Amino acid sequence: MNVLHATLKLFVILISLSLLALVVLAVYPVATGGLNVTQDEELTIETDPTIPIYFDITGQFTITSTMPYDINDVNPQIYMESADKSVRVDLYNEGEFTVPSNGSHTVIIDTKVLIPELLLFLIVDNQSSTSETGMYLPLTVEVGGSYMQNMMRLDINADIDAKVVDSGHVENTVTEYSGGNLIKITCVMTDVEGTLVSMIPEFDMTISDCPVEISVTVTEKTDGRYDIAFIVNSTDDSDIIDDLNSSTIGGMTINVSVNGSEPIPIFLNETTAKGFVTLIEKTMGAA
Amino acid sequence: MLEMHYSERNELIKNDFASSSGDIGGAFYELAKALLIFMIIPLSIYALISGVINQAIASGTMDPETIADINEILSTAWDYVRKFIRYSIPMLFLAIPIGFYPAGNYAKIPFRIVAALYLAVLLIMFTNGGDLLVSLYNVIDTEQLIVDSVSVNINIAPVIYMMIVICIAKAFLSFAEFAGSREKYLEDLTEKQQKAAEKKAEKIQNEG
Repeated sequence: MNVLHATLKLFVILISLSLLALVVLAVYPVATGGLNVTQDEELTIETDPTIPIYFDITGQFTITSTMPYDINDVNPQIYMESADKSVRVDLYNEGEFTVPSNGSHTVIIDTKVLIPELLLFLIVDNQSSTSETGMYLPLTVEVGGSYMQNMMRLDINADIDAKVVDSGHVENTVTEYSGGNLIKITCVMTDVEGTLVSMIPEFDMTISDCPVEISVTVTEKTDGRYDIAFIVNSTDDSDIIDDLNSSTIGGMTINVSVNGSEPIPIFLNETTAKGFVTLIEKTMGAA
Repeated sequence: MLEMHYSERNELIKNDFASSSGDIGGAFYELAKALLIFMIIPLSIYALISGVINQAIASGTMDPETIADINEILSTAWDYVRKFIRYSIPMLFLAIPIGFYPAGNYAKIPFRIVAALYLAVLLIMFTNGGDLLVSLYNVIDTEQLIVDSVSVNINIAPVIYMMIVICIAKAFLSFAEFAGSREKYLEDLTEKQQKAAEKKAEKIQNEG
């Protein structure tokens, strides 16, 4: 073996070993607890005091890293998503951030969830529920990040069903037609029990320039359980879905009156509005 | 003069590819080395890990859900081991001519280059271009929380690209190896041919 060959071979071996060492040294701290997540403020869900048609979800976490490199493009997301992935409602999506090497980053969760959307997800996703099983909310948790100057990227995606209603079930959806037009949809959740459900208010919703009314009635029973009815009604016997679909163009303004109070206008952008109407359509799958 | 030079060189190259230029022992040695790297070591690592885990399971300290999760992870790991071995089969075939032809022989160069390039292809195929996906189903099933599926996607494409560059560098190493060993190879070959000629002459003399 001559000097040239030996030198080149040594060079290749050294590069291979350096690469291996780089990867091992960069990844080893993860296995030895290089990342730590602490909860600074407990995650709480409350009804928004100013607009009680929203749930406020708040909490605070701190991610501490003792890793040798920054973790870039960290993008945790939590969202509700329909089974066919056609409707997605973000619960947490604050964009990308960096967890610095030997530093920390604070994640502040302060998000609002429209209660009618939450109810629709519960109705659509729990059509085979029974009183014993309770009701689950379909959540997707995603987290990802790049490491070692973007040489490695890790993405984790988890599909979760979180129990938000201890007991109760979705009854068959009742639809009413007039002259071939769908004029009324009634979805009922019976015997529901749970902290989240007890916070749901009674409300009526009208949609600007759309002959459709939505009302939610909450009936408390003697055993502390509730019956919740979600009713979509046409005010002029025209087709509900057609009316709703045409009112989503350019966004939709809903006027919400909670417990008989003065209506509060809420603007839904076109994507949110379309998702809302799609969920209403999907409730009929319960029939 | 120049024509003669080329014809001599062509003759030499032709002789290099002849089976008489090779060494069966070298072929076996290189094949054994490839078997060790591409089959025995991955299987041993898997056997060791699964053995340790199975022993932990047999001790009865784990709950059934954890056992089911571990078995799923082991099954995924086994799929990766099988995939690695399947993709490595051409490396075993290439190891035979690489070991058969000694260093300094022209015939060794193309096989070494093909092996180095195939190693790069193997890396791309095995790691799916540096994009590894592991999916687990029914991870948690409790009354409060059901985790239907968890998918973990690891993208190490830049690391794989660097490894591919190393593989290509290894392909070029075959030329350096050839240049460094050619003189010794020709000396050995001449010595071998001389010995064979002497043996032949001796045999003829004995027969005469």
